[in-house]
Amino acid sequence: MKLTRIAVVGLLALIAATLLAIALGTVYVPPLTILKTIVSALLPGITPSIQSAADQTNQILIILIRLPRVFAAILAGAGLALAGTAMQGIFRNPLAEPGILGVSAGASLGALVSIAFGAISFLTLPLFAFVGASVAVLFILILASVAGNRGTTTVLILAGMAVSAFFSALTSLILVLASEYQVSSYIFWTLGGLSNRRWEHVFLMAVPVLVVGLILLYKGRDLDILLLGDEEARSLGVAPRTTRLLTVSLASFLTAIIVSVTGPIGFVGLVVPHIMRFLVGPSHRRLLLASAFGGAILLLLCDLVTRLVAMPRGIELSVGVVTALVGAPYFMFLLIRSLKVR
Amino acid sequence: MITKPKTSPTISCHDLTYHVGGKEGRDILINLSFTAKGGEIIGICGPNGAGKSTFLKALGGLIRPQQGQIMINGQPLTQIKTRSLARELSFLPQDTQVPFDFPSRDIVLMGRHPYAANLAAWSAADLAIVDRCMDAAECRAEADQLVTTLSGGERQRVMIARLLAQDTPIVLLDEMTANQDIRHASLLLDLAQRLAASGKLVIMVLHDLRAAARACSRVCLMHHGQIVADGEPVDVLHEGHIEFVYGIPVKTFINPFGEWDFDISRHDEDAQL
Repeated sequence: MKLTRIAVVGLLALIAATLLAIALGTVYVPPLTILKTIVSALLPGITPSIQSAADQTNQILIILIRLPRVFAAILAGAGLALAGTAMQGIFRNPLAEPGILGVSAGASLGALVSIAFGAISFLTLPLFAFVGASVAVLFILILASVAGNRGTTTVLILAGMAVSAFFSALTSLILVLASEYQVSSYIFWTLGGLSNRRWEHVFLMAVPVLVVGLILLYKGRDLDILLLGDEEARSLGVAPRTTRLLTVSLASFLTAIIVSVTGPIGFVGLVVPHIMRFLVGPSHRRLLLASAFGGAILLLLCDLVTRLVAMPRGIELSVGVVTALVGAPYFMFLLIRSLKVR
Repeated sequence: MITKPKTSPTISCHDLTYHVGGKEGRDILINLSFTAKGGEIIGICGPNGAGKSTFLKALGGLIRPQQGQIMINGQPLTQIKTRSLARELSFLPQDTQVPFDFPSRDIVLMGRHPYAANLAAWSAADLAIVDRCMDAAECRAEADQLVTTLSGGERQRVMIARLLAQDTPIVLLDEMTANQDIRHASLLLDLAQRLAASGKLVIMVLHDLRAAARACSRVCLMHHGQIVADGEPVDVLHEGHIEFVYGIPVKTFINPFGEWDFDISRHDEDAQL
C-alpha cells in the first residue's frame, strides 16, 4: 500500500471515529450540531452567535469536555504506537514496547512522589511523572554513551530492566510509607485514563507527537536498514549507534510525555505496530504512518467504550482494560491467520 | 549495476592491530599491512580464527582497530562520512538475519539508499537497477517473496543483489559462496570476476582454496592475525604454505582441465591405520 493511500484511508477513518466519539456519550449530539458548534467556536465572527441555552450547553459539552478528551486520546494513541514501532525496529525485537527503557517505572515513581507531596493539580502530577520518566531514560542514555561501541541493544535492554527494577523498588518503598488515600490515588493513576483531560494536556502532547512522528518518518528508511544489523547498516551508509540513540531517545521522551499525561496505558504501543505490520508490511515509513493512525483510532474508540459502559459506584472503566480486552483477541486472530498462511 | 569506477579505487592499511577482550583477550590482527587497487580480485584464505573476517571488517570500517590506519583512495577511513563511505565501499557479511517480513525486492532496494534522498520515493531508475541486480545474482524469481521464507543460500543471493545495487568501486565479500550450491557458487565467482574486470576492487574471504585459485588474481594467506603469504594464487597456495597454516599435508597439482587443484595427503592416516 502506498504512503499517500495509507494517509488518506487513515485520515478518513480517524475523522469518522472522531465524529463518533464526540457524538456519543451520556448525551447524544448529532454530527451536524458538532460541526456547527466547532465552526462557531473557531470563527465566532462569521456564524450567527450562539443564543439558545441548548447551544451553550452543546458548546461547553463539545468544546470543553469532549473535544479535549478526544484529541488527548488521538495524540496519546498515535504517540504510543509511534514509539512502539520505533522501539521494535531499533531493538529488532517484536516484543519491545515504548516503556522498555524504564520509562513507565520512572513515570510511576514521579507520579507517586507528586501524590505523596500532595501536589496533584492537573499539571503538577504530569510534570513529576515526566521528570521521573526522563531521569530513567537519561540513566540509560548515559550508560549507552559510556558503553560506546559495545552499547548494543542487549546492553540497553538489560540497563532498562535494571532501572525499572530500581525505580519500582523506590515506588514500593514510598507506598509502604504512604497513607491509604495516597495509595489509592496512586493505583487509580496507574490504571491510566483520559477522563477530565483539558486542552492544556492536549497542547502538552501535540508538539512532541507531531515533531517526533515527523523525524521518525524522515528516518524511516534508516530504520529499515538498521533491521539488517549494525554491519549491514554501516556499509549502507547508516551510522548504527547514532541512529539508535536518536530514535531511542525520541521514542522514550515521547512515551514519557504521554505517560505523564494519561498514566500508563498498556498494549497500544506493543500491539498496534504488529497489527499494522500485518496490514501494510514492515517498511517503516508506511508502518509508522499506519501505526500513528491505528493507535489514535484504537485509543479513541476504547476511550469511547469506557465512557459508554456504565460502571458501578460511578467509577469509569480504565481505558487500558478496554485496549487489552479489544486488542488482544484481534491480535490473536491475526496471529493465527498468519500462521495458517505460512 | 557494474559501473566502471570513475577513478581506480585503492585501499591500504599499515601496521594494523586489533585486540579483543581486554587484558585477558587476544590480538586478532597483528601489525598487518596491505595494499590493493582497482581491477584486482583478492582472495583472503586461511584457517578458522586466522583473522580473515576481522580483517575484512576492518577494511570496511565496521570495526575500529586499536592501532594502524586504513586509507581509502588515499583518505583516512575514519575521516570519511558514513554515507560517503557507502558510495565507495560495500560489504557482504557472512549471514544477515532479517527479523521482519520484508519482500526480497525491498531488501535489494536498500542498496540504493546511499544515493537516495531520505524522503524521496524510489525512482524508476532505481527499480530498474534492482531488477537487473536480482537477475545477475539469480534471485529475481524470489523478488516478491518474503526474505524470512527464503533458504540460507537464497537469502545470501538477495544480499548479494543488494550489494550489486550499491554499485561501489570497492567490494568486500565475506564467504559469499559458503551456502551456495555448485551452480550458484560458480555463478557468483564469475560475477565477482566481472566486477574486478570492470575496474572495481574485489576482496573476498574464501574457505574454498580451489575457488580462490580459479577466480582470484591474488591470494593472501592469513595465519594468527598476519598475512603470511601474498601474491599469485599458484605461488601462495604452495604445498609448504598450506601445510604450515592449516597443519595438514596436501599435494597440489594441475588437474586435467589445466586448473590448480589439491588433494589432502593420506599417507599419515594410512600409516596410523
